[in-house]
Amino acid sequence: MSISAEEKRKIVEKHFDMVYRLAFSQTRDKDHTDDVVQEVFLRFIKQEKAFESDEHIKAWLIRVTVNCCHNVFSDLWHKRTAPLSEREDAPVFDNVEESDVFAAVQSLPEKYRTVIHLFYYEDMSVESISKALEMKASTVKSHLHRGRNLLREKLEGEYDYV
Amino acid sequence: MFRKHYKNAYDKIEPNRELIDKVFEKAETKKGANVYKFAARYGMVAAVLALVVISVKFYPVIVPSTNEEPSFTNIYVTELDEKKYTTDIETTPTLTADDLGANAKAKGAELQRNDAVAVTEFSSRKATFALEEFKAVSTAEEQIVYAFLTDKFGEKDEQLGHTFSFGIAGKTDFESGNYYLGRWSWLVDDHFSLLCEFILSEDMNRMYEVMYEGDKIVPLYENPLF
Repeated sequence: MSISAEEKRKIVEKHFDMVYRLAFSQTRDKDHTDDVVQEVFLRFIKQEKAFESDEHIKAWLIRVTVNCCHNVFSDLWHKRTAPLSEREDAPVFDNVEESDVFAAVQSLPEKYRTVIHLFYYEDMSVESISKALEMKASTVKSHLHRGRNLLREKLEGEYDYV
Repeated sequence: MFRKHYKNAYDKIEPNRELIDKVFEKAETKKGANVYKFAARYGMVAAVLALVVISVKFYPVIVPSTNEEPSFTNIYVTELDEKKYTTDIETTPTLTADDLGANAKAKGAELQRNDAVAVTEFSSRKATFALEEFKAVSTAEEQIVYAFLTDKFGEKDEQLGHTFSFGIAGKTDFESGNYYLGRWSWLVDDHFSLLCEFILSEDMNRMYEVMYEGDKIVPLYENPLF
């Protein structure tokens, strides 16, 4: 389906939070997140591709977000910003469990963070994640499995993983 | 419980919704710029055409003719001295796709090496593992490592068709031996898409993914790459 300008606005507003939080889970930095989010939605507004459904749009946004974050990483490898915990706008958690879980996921390798975030925060299925990231379902499962193992170690097995 | 805590934690990340208006403003600005570019480009073409038409039409006025009618027999055609010109021309060998791919990979490796050196210089200052300094790796040694990694993992990601690119930062003492520190990426269009950072033992029997915890490099022994 081709999209009118007004519909594009609605789509941006609908998926903005999802893209923002996914980008943040990757970059772990608000400034870079802002850059990535703008890049993603600029590409969305400019591109002329027809989408089949809202699910298709969501998958497209996820894929472009992850790719844009990779571009940021290639610059980030020699340019570190202040850790989130040291920033004034750092999130304030209600309890130590939230803080621990947040820190543990943030410390995961990028490819595991992506899958963990999409699975646990966006409630996406393995199948949906594999389509969005253009990965085999077995790869998604493998990343989930390894990510969970790492989290289990970091969190000392305190949490059950569905 | 993990899902609940994770969701609650990430709900605390407030999306910067002011960006929405900014994005649409940028999109409009860029559209406007394209219109001006379009006008500029075709304006130039139109101006040149107009100049040509005017020149042709008013040529007799600008360059008054002599008493004689212009004669095309006055135009002499000279033949190129083939021997002189062709021997001076150096032919550029045509690059095949493989050559281009190899050049791109070599260039990519060089870029990644430069980046890798930069980050290890940064991280090594504060590393708490035995990563005190990185020894430079010779080009010949790098080539051996690349050849090993390419042989091990292939030149391309068979699933998605992206070319693999490996960058080696250097070599360092780590626990029981020397390890290379490197980065494994896809080469996608004009950019690198990171897959993972790794350490590879000098004897190439062990290879582990690493991750960064702040400024430390942490090998993930539970995630051997082969």
